[in-house]
Amino acid sequence: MTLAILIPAATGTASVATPSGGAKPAARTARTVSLTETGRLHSTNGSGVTIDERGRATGTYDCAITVHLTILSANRVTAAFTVSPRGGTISGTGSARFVAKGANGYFGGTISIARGTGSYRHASGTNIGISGIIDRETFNLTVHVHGTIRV
Amino acid sequence: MRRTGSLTAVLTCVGLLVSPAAGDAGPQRITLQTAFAPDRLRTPTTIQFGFHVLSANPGQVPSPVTKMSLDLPAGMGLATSTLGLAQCPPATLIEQGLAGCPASAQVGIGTAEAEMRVEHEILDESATVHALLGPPAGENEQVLFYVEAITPVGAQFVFPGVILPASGRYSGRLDTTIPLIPTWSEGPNVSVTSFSSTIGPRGLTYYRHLKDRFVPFHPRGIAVPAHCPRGGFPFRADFTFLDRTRATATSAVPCPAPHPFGR
Repeated sequence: MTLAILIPAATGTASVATPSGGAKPAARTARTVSLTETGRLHSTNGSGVTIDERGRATGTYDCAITVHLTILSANRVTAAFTVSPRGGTISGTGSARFVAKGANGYFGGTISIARGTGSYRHASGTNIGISGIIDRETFNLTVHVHGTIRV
Repeated sequence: MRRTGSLTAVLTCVGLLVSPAAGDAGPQRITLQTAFAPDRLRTPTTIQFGFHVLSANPGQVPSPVTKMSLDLPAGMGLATSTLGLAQCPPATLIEQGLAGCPASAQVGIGTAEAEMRVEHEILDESATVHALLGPPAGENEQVLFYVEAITPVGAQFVFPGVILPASGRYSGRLDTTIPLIPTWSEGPNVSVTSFSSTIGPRGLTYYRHLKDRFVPFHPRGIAVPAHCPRGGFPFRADFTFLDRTRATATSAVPCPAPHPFGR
Protein backbone atom coordinates (compact mmCIF):
# COMPACT_ATOMS: atom_id res chain seq x y z
CA MET A 1 0.00 0.00 0.00
CA THR A 2 1.34 3.36 -0.92
CA LEU A 3 0.81 6.12 1.63
CA ALA A 4 0.13 9.46 0.01
CA ILE A 5 0.16 12.49 2.21
CA LEU A 6 -1.06 15.73 0.76
CA ILE A 7 -0.40 18.92 2.69
CA PRO A 8 -2.11 21.89 1.03
CA ALA A 9 -0.19 25.06 1.89
CA ALA A 10 -3.25 27.09 2.87
CA THR A 11 -4.86 24.76 5.36
CA GLY A 12 -2.27 22.31 6.58
CA THR A 13 -4.81 19.50 6.44
CA ALA A 14 -3.44 16.02 5.68
CA SER A 15 -5.46 13.29 4.05
CA VAL A 16 -4.73 9.62 3.60
CA ALA A 17 -5.80 7.56 0.61
CA THR A 18 -7.46 4.38 1.82
CA PRO A 19 -7.66 1.10 -0.05
CA SER A 20 -11.32 1.77 -0.71
CA GLY A 21 -10.32 4.90 -2.64
CA GLY A 22 -11.93 7.40 -0.21
CA ALA A 23 -9.89 10.13 1.49
CA LYS A 24 -10.49 11.12 5.04
CA PRO A 25 -8.86 13.79 7.18
CA ALA A 26 -6.10 12.60 9.42
CA ALA A 27 -3.69 14.66 11.45
CA ARG A 28 -4.17 18.35 10.99
CA THR A 29 -1.36 20.84 11.46
CA ALA A 30 -2.58 24.15 12.74
CA ARG A 31 -0.62 27.19 11.77
CA THR A 32 0.10 30.26 13.83
CA VAL A 33 -0.29 33.40 11.84
CA SER A 34 0.98 36.80 12.87
CA LEU A 35 -1.90 38.97 11.82
CA THR A 36 -1.45 42.54 10.67
CA GLU A 37 -4.35 44.09 8.85
CA THR A 38 -5.54 47.51 7.82
CA GLY A 39 -9.16 47.86 6.84
CA ARG A 40 -10.83 50.75 5.08
CA LEU A 41 -14.60 50.64 5.28
CA HIS A 42 -17.62 52.78 4.47
CA SER A 43 -21.01 52.79 6.09
CA THR A 44 -23.86 50.90 4.49
CA ASN A 45 -26.36 51.67 7.23
CA GLY A 46 -26.00 53.87 10.25
CA SER A 47 -28.74 54.85 12.62
CA GLY A 48 -29.31 55.13 16.30
CA VAL A 49 -26.66 53.13 18.08
CA THR A 50 -25.56 50.81 15.26
CA ILE A 51 -23.41 51.31 12.17
CA ASP A 52 -22.85 48.70 9.47
CA GLU A 53 -19.58 48.97 7.58
CA ARG A 54 -18.15 47.25 4.53
CA GLY A 55 -14.75 47.46 2.83
CA ARG A 56 -11.39 45.86 2.12
CA ALA A 57 -8.67 44.69 4.40
CA THR A 58 -5.03 44.51 3.33
CA GLY A 59 -2.04 43.01 5.05
CA THR A 60 -1.66 39.39 6.06
CA TYR A 61 -4.84 38.67 4.16
CA ASP A 62 -6.26 40.80 1.38
CA CYS A 63 -9.96 40.32 1.57
CA ALA A 64 -13.41 41.76 2.04
CA ILE A 65 -14.46 42.77 5.53
CA THR A 66 -17.76 43.70 7.17
CA VAL A 67 -18.21 45.19 10.60
CA HIS A 68 -21.31 45.80 12.68
CA LEU A 69 -20.62 48.48 15.30
CA THR A 70 -22.82 49.04 18.34
CA ILE A 71 -22.34 52.22 20.35
CA LEU A 72 -22.96 51.14 23.93
CA SER A 73 -22.33 54.54 25.44
CA ALA A 74 -20.53 57.77 24.67
CA ASN A 75 -17.20 55.99 25.28
CA ARG A 76 -17.67 52.30 24.55
CA VAL A 77 -18.37 50.35 21.36
CA THR A 78 -18.69 46.69 20.49
CA ALA A 79 -18.07 45.18 17.09
CA ALA A 80 -18.96 42.01 15.24
CA PHE A 81 -16.82 41.39 12.17
CA THR A 82 -16.43 38.94 9.31
CA VAL A 83 -13.45 38.74 6.99
CA SER A 84 -13.53 36.66 3.83
CA PRO A 85 -10.08 35.52 2.73
CA ARG A 86 -9.86 32.99 -0.03
CA GLY A 87 -11.19 29.65 1.09
CA GLY A 88 -13.51 30.66 3.87
CA THR A 89 -14.53 33.24 6.43
CA ILE A 90 -13.46 34.24 9.91
CA SER A 91 -15.87 35.92 12.29
CA GLY A 92 -15.57 37.33 15.75
CA THR A 93 -16.46 40.02 18.19
CA GLY A 94 -14.74 42.65 20.23
CA SER A 95 -15.10 45.76 22.30
CA ALA A 96 -13.22 49.02 22.40
CA ARG A 97 -13.02 52.32 24.18
CA PHE A 98 -14.31 55.17 22.06
CA VAL A 99 -13.45 58.86 22.26
CA ALA A 100 -15.04 61.49 20.06
CA LYS A 101 -12.69 64.36 19.38
CA GLY A 102 -13.66 66.96 16.86
CA ALA A 103 -14.77 65.47 13.59
CA ASN A 104 -13.35 62.02 14.37
CA GLY A 105 -13.93 59.22 16.80
CA TYR A 106 -11.00 57.16 18.03
CA PHE A 107 -11.26 53.64 19.34
CA GLY A 108 -8.97 50.99 20.74
CA GLY A 109 -9.57 47.54 22.22
CA THR A 110 -9.44 43.84 21.48
CA ILE A 111 -11.28 41.27 19.40
CA SER A 112 -11.58 37.49 19.52
CA ILE A 113 -12.32 34.97 16.83
CA ALA A 114 -15.58 33.17 17.39
CA ARG A 115 -15.78 30.89 14.37
CA GLY A 116 -14.51 30.18 10.88
CA THR A 117 -15.75 28.44 7.80
CA GLY A 118 -14.14 26.52 4.96
CA SER A 119 -10.39 26.51 5.23
CA TYR A 120 -10.64 28.53 8.42
CA ARG A 121 -13.13 26.41 10.30
CA HIS A 122 -10.55 25.81 13.03
CA ALA A 123 -9.54 29.44 13.28
CA SER A 124 -9.04 30.80 16.77
CA GLY A 125 -7.50 33.77 18.48
CA THR A 126 -8.08 36.04 21.46
CA ASN A 127 -6.84 39.41 22.64
CA ILE A 128 -6.19 40.57 19.12
CA GLY A 129 -5.54 44.28 19.19
CA ILE A 130 -7.79 46.64 17.27
CA SER A 131 -7.63 50.41 16.86
CA GLY A 132 -8.85 52.98 14.42
CA ILE A 133 -10.56 56.16 13.46
CA ILE A 134 -14.11 56.82 12.33
CA ASP A 135 -15.23 59.98 10.57
CA ARG A 136 -18.23 61.19 12.56
CA GLU A 137 -19.88 62.76 9.53
CA THR A 138 -19.43 60.06 6.89
CA PHE A 139 -18.83 57.05 9.18
CA ASN A 140 -15.84 56.14 6.98
CA LEU A 141 -13.73 53.82 9.09
CA THR A 142 -10.05 52.95 9.14
CA VAL A 143 -9.16 50.05 11.39
CA HIS A 144 -5.85 48.39 12.28
CA VAL A 145 -5.67 44.84 13.59
CA HIS A 146 -2.62 43.15 15.04
CA GLY A 147 -2.20 39.91 16.91
CA THR A 148 -1.73 36.20 16.61
CA ILE A 149 -4.29 33.73 15.33
CA ARG A 150 -4.31 30.01 14.68
CA VAL A 151 -5.78 28.65 11.49
CA MET B 1 -45.52 93.49 42.66
CA ARG B 2 -44.15 91.03 40.21
CA ARG B 3 -42.26 92.17 37.18
CA THR B 4 -41.85 89.55 34.52
CA GLY B 5 -39.13 89.09 31.94
CA SER B 6 -39.37 87.81 28.44
CA LEU B 7 -39.12 84.73 26.24
CA THR B 8 -39.71 81.21 27.25
CA ALA B 9 -38.94 78.29 24.91
CA VAL B 10 -42.10 76.53 23.79
CA LEU B 11 -41.97 72.87 24.66
CA THR B 12 -44.34 70.04 24.02
CA CYS B 13 -45.49 69.20 27.51
CA VAL B 14 -46.09 65.47 27.72
CA GLY B 15 -46.48 62.93 30.44
CA LEU B 16 -45.99 65.32 33.33
CA LEU B 17 -45.36 63.67 36.61
CA VAL B 18 -44.37 65.40 39.80
CA SER B 19 -42.87 63.15 42.40
CA PRO B 20 -40.96 64.28 45.46
CA ALA B 21 -38.03 62.06 46.38
CA ALA B 22 -39.20 59.05 48.34
CA GLY B 23 -39.54 59.71 52.03
CA ASP B 24 -39.14 63.48 51.67
CA ALA B 25 -42.12 65.77 50.94
CA GLY B 26 -39.72 68.63 50.17
CA PRO B 27 -40.74 72.27 49.94
CA GLN B 28 -40.12 72.32 46.17
CA ARG B 29 -42.25 70.86 43.39
CA ILE B 30 -40.75 70.00 40.02
CA THR B 31 -42.30 69.31 36.67
CA LEU B 32 -40.31 67.94 33.75
CA GLN B 33 -41.12 68.45 30.08
CA THR B 34 -39.52 66.54 27.23
CA ALA B 35 -40.01 66.30 23.50
CA PHE B 36 -38.35 65.21 20.28
CA ALA B 37 -38.21 67.45 17.22
CA PRO B 38 -38.87 65.80 14.83
CA ASP B 39 -40.71 63.04 16.61
CA ARG B 40 -40.15 59.99 14.37
CA LEU B 41 -38.53 56.63 14.90
CA ARG B 42 -35.07 56.03 13.39
CA THR B 43 -34.78 59.75 12.68
CA PRO B 44 -32.08 62.17 13.86
CA THR B 45 -33.76 64.50 16.28
CA THR B 46 -33.31 67.34 18.75
CA ILE B 47 -34.08 66.48 22.36
CA GLN B 48 -35.93 69.27 24.13
CA PHE B 49 -36.05 69.21 27.90
CA GLY B 50 -37.08 71.64 30.57
CA PHE B 51 -38.20 71.86 34.14
CA HIS B 52 -40.28 74.20 36.29
CA VAL B 53 -39.70 74.68 40.01
CA LEU B 54 -42.38 75.85 42.40
CA SER B 55 -42.20 76.39 46.10
CA ALA B 56 -44.71 74.28 47.99
CA ASN B 57 -45.51 77.42 49.93
CA PRO B 58 -47.44 79.86 47.73
CA GLY B 59 -45.76 83.20 47.35
CA GLN B 60 -42.37 81.86 48.36
CA VAL B 61 -39.27 81.78 46.19
CA PRO B 62 -38.16 78.16 45.78
CA SER B 63 -34.79 77.09 47.11
CA PRO B 64 -32.10 77.33 44.39
CA VAL B 65 -31.33 74.17 42.43
CA THR B 66 -27.75 73.08 43.03
CA LYS B 67 -27.66 69.77 41.15
CA MET B 68 -29.65 68.24 38.35
CA SER B 69 -29.25 64.82 36.74
CA LEU B 70 -31.20 64.02 33.60
CA ASP B 71 -31.45 60.41 32.41
CA LEU B 72 -31.97 59.98 28.67
CA PRO B 73 -33.91 57.10 27.08
CA ALA B 74 -32.07 53.93 26.15
CA GLY B 75 -30.96 53.54 22.56
CA MET B 76 -30.63 57.23 21.75
CA GLY B 77 -27.91 57.69 19.14
CA LEU B 78 -25.80 60.26 20.98
CA ALA B 79 -22.51 58.94 19.65
CA THR B 80 -23.70 58.75 16.03
CA SER B 81 -24.73 62.40 15.93
CA THR B 82 -22.35 65.06 14.63
CA LEU B 83 -23.10 67.45 17.45
CA GLY B 84 -20.04 69.01 18.98
CA LEU B 85 -17.51 68.76 16.15
CA ALA B 86 -15.37 71.22 18.11
CA GLN B 87 -14.83 71.93 21.79
CA CYS B 88 -14.82 75.15 23.75
CA PRO B 89 -12.59 75.48 26.83
CA PRO B 90 -14.47 76.77 29.88
CA ALA B 91 -11.94 79.57 30.42
CA THR B 92 -12.50 80.84 26.89
CA LEU B 93 -16.25 80.72 27.33
CA ILE B 94 -16.07 82.64 30.60
CA GLU B 95 -13.64 85.27 29.28
CA GLN B 96 -15.00 85.79 25.80
CA GLY B 97 -18.51 84.40 25.85
CA LEU B 98 -19.97 82.67 22.81
CA ALA B 99 -17.88 84.77 20.46
CA GLY B 100 -14.76 82.98 21.67
CA CYS B 101 -16.04 79.51 20.79
CA PRO B 102 -16.39 77.72 17.47
CA ALA B 103 -19.94 77.52 16.18
CA SER B 104 -19.54 73.76 15.86
CA ALA B 105 -19.06 73.48 19.62
CA GLN B 106 -22.69 74.42 20.23
CA VAL B 107 -25.00 71.50 20.96
CA GLY B 108 -28.16 73.23 22.15
CA ILE B 109 -29.99 76.41 23.03
CA GLY B 110 -32.64 77.40 25.52
CA THR B 111 -33.84 79.84 28.13
CA ALA B 112 -34.12 80.17 31.86
CA GLU B 113 -36.19 82.17 34.27
CA ALA B 114 -35.42 82.89 37.87
CA GLU B 115 -36.80 84.68 40.89
CA MET B 116 -35.25 86.62 43.72
CA ARG B 117 -36.86 88.15 46.76
CA VAL B 118 -36.02 91.77 47.40
CA GLU B 119 -37.69 92.93 50.59
CA HIS B 120 -41.39 92.41 49.91
CA GLU B 121 -41.09 92.02 46.16
CA ILE B 122 -40.33 89.00 44.01
CA LEU B 123 -38.34 89.99 40.96
CA ASP B 124 -38.17 87.86 37.84
CA GLU B 125 -35.04 87.37 35.80
CA SER B 126 -34.78 86.01 32.26
CA ALA B 127 -31.75 84.53 30.60
CA THR B 128 -30.63 82.82 27.44
CA VAL B 129 -28.95 79.43 27.63
CA HIS B 130 -26.41 77.95 25.23
CA ALA B 131 -25.08 74.41 25.56
CA LEU B 132 -21.58 73.76 24.18
CA LEU B 133 -19.29 70.78 24.08
CA GLY B 134 -16.37 71.29 26.42
CA PRO B 135 -13.18 69.29 26.88
CA PRO B 136 -13.80 65.80 28.24
CA ALA B 137 -14.01 65.35 31.98
CA GLY B 138 -11.87 62.26 32.42
CA GLU B 139 -13.39 59.59 30.22
CA ASN B 140 -16.72 61.38 29.90
CA GLU B 141 -18.06 64.01 27.55
CA GLN B 142 -18.65 67.41 29.12
CA VAL B 143 -21.37 69.88 28.16
CA LEU B 144 -20.97 73.50 29.24
CA PHE B 145 -24.12 75.54 29.84
CA TYR B 146 -23.52 79.23 29.23
CA VAL B 147 -26.23 81.36 30.81
CA GLU B 148 -26.50 85.03 30.01
CA ALA B 149 -28.91 87.16 32.04
CA ILE B 150 -29.56 90.76 31.25
CA THR B 151 -32.16 92.33 33.49
CA PRO B 152 -32.59 93.25 36.27
CA VAL B 153 -29.31 91.49 37.22
CA GLY B 154 -26.76 91.34 34.43
CA ALA B 155 -24.64 88.23 34.70
CA GLN B 156 -23.00 85.50 32.71
CA PHE B 157 -22.02 82.22 34.18
CA VAL B 158 -21.04 78.75 33.08
CA PHE B 159 -21.89 75.47 34.68
CA PRO B 160 -20.76 72.05 33.53
CA GLY B 161 -22.68 68.90 32.80
CA VAL B 162 -20.99 65.55 32.42
CA ILE B 163 -22.46 62.77 30.30
CA LEU B 164 -22.20 59.58 32.29
CA PRO B 165 -23.01 56.07 31.10
CA ALA B 166 -26.28 54.61 32.27
CA SER B 167 -28.11 51.32 31.88
CA GLY B 168 -31.50 49.72 31.77
CA ARG B 169 -34.19 52.08 30.56
CA TYR B 170 -31.69 54.89 30.10
CA SER B 171 -28.80 55.39 27.70
CA GLY B 172 -26.93 58.10 29.53
CA ARG B 173 -27.10 60.64 32.31
CA LEU B 174 -26.42 64.35 32.05
CA ASP B 175 -25.10 65.24 35.49
CA THR B 176 -24.93 69.00 36.18
CA THR B 177 -23.79 71.09 39.10
CA ILE B 178 -25.44 74.51 39.14
CA PRO B 179 -23.60 77.32 40.95
CA LEU B 180 -25.32 79.66 43.33
CA ILE B 181 -26.05 82.99 41.71
CA PRO B 182 -25.75 85.82 44.23
CA THR B 183 -27.51 89.07 43.49
CA TRP B 184 -25.36 91.44 45.57
CA SER B 185 -23.22 91.36 48.67
CA GLU B 186 -25.26 89.68 51.40
CA GLY B 187 -28.21 89.60 49.02
CA PRO B 188 -30.38 86.61 48.21
CA ASN B 189 -29.39 83.94 45.76
CA VAL B 190 -31.29 83.81 42.51
CA SER B 191 -33.60 80.79 42.29
CA VAL B 192 -34.12 79.23 38.89
CA THR B 193 -37.84 78.65 38.41
CA SER B 194 -37.70 77.30 34.90
CA PHE B 195 -34.96 76.03 32.65
CA SER B 196 -35.11 74.65 29.16
CA SER B 197 -32.54 73.55 26.68
CA THR B 198 -32.17 71.47 23.60
CA ILE B 199 -29.58 68.86 22.73
CA GLY B 200 -29.64 68.69 18.98
CA PRO B 201 -29.29 70.57 15.70
CA ARG B 202 -32.50 72.60 15.76
CA GLY B 203 -31.53 76.25 15.56
CA LEU B 204 -27.83 75.45 15.16
CA THR B 205 -25.62 76.15 12.16
CA TYR B 206 -22.09 74.83 11.82
CA TYR B 207 -19.54 75.94 9.25
CA ARG B 208 -17.18 73.87 7.15
CA HIS B 209 -14.07 75.44 5.64
CA LEU B 210 -13.94 74.50 1.97
CA LYS B 211 -11.21 76.02 -0.14
CA ASP B 212 -11.50 79.75 0.52
CA ARG B 213 -14.97 79.97 2.04
CA PHE B 214 -17.06 78.77 4.94
CA VAL B 215 -20.02 76.62 4.01
CA PRO B 216 -22.88 76.42 6.52
CA PHE B 217 -24.48 73.11 7.39
CA HIS B 218 -26.64 71.59 10.09
CA PRO B 219 -25.18 68.83 12.23
CA ARG B 220 -26.78 65.41 12.39
CA GLY B 221 -29.09 65.00 15.35
CA ILE B 222 -29.51 62.25 17.90
CA ALA B 223 -31.19 59.23 16.37
CA VAL B 224 -34.48 58.14 17.89
CA PRO B 225 -34.46 54.37 18.41
CA ALA B 226 -36.23 52.12 15.94
CA HIS B 227 -38.58 50.79 18.59
CA CYS B 228 -40.57 52.76 21.13
CA PRO B 229 -40.95 51.17 24.57
CA ARG B 230 -44.36 50.81 26.10
CA GLY B 231 -45.33 54.09 27.67
CA GLY B 232 -43.05 56.16 25.47
CA PHE B 233 -39.40 57.18 25.67
CA PRO B 234 -38.68 57.71 29.37
CA PHE B 235 -36.79 60.59 30.94
CA ARG B 236 -36.01 61.04 34.59
CA ALA B 237 -34.54 64.02 36.42
CA ASP B 238 -33.25 64.22 39.98
CA PHE B 239 -32.82 67.58 41.67
CA THR B 240 -30.98 68.75 44.75
CA PHE B 241 -31.70 72.16 46.32
CA LEU B 242 -29.73 74.54 48.47
CA ASP B 243 -31.97 73.67 51.44
CA ARG B 244 -30.75 70.06 50.97
CA THR B 245 -34.11 68.77 49.90
CA ARG B 246 -34.40 66.63 46.80
CA ALA B 247 -37.02 65.97 44.18
CA THR B 248 -37.48 63.65 41.25
CA ALA B 249 -39.58 64.10 38.15
CA THR B 250 -40.22 61.79 35.24
CA SER B 251 -41.58 62.38 31.79
CA ALA B 252 -42.01 60.38 28.61
CA VAL B 253 -42.12 61.34 24.98
CA PRO B 254 -45.12 59.41 23.61
CA CYS B 255 -44.49 56.87 20.91
CA PRO B 256 -44.90 58.61 17.57
CA ALA B 257 -48.02 57.85 15.60
CA PRO B 258 -47.49 55.22 12.90
CA HIS B 259 -46.74 56.64 9.48
CA PRO B 260 -49.91 56.50 7.40
CA PHE B 261 -48.04 54.57 4.71
CA GLY B 262 -46.39 52.19 7.14
CA ARG B 263 -42.84 53.62 6.98
